[in-house]
Amino acid sequence: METTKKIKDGDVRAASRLIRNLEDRIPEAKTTIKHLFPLTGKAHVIGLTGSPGAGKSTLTDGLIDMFRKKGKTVGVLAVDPTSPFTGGAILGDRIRMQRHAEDPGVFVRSLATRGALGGLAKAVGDAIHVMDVLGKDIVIVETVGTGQQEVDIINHSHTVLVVLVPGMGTRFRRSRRASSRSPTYSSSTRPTARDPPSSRES
Amino acid sequence: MAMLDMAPPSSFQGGWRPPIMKVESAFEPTGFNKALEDIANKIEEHHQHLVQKDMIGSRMRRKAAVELNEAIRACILEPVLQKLIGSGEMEGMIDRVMKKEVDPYSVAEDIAKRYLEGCL
Repeated sequence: METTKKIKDGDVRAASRLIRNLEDRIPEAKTTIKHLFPLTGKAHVIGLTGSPGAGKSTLTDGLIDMFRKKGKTVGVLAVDPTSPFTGGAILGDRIRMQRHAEDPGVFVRSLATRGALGGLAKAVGDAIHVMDVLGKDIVIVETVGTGQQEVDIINHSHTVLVVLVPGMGTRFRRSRRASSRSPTYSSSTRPTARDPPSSRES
Repeated sequence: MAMLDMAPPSSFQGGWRPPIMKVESAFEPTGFNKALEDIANKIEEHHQHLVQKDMIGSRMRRKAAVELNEAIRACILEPVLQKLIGSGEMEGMIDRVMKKEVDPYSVAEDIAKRYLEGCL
């Protein structure tokens, strides 16, 4: 398969096109992903979850930098459930991460929930495979951690980060959220000067 | 932290207790960058831990399970939904459910009977 070879050689445009075709359920794309599957399994998939505004994109943006400094290539999948109230902000993450746009070692792609058929977790799984074959050492999947679909998405990852804002909610709720998804780390990018001491524990 | 303390040590697979790391405000670059570096190192440490303790396999298995689940769902559910939506039958069924002429459970059962005859 020509596309398979292109993606294996690091052709970002071919990869991008394939992810789009998979989203649009083009039959040829399905054939291609079947060819790609045996080549997957090299990337370290990191799931980043947390409520809206917790700082997931800020943290992702910073982590891209850190991993690039360590000489690793990074793929980012920003999963943005299209909001029925605001119409969603599919481009929000792209704007926040645009300083990496010129770096060939970084590939950022947004995915949104689509219509009546659902299947977001599948779209994410497919896109992880594509980035893996593309040669990305690290694949960061960023998603709001609520709802079954999002939990399914997080199950695609090897390491899970839960981003929490100190001082929000009760101590119990914070703790429960932190442990119910068995996260690997919790962190926050928000200022903490005015927080009560216990907030450090979130 | 309190909940992590309540969990028995056995619940931390391979002895990995999820660390809680504080990140400074992104508007304070020095502290923020230091925290990022720590997190990036911790992520790598976790990956090494998964590999060393032979836990990466269970993560891959979890991933494979999700993938298979999603693939089956896509293979079975999508063509059926697409047919129902494409033919306009879906809209008709929604109308009937709305008017309380039928309940959604029976409609779903009828559809399942129609398309999954061998399984039910």
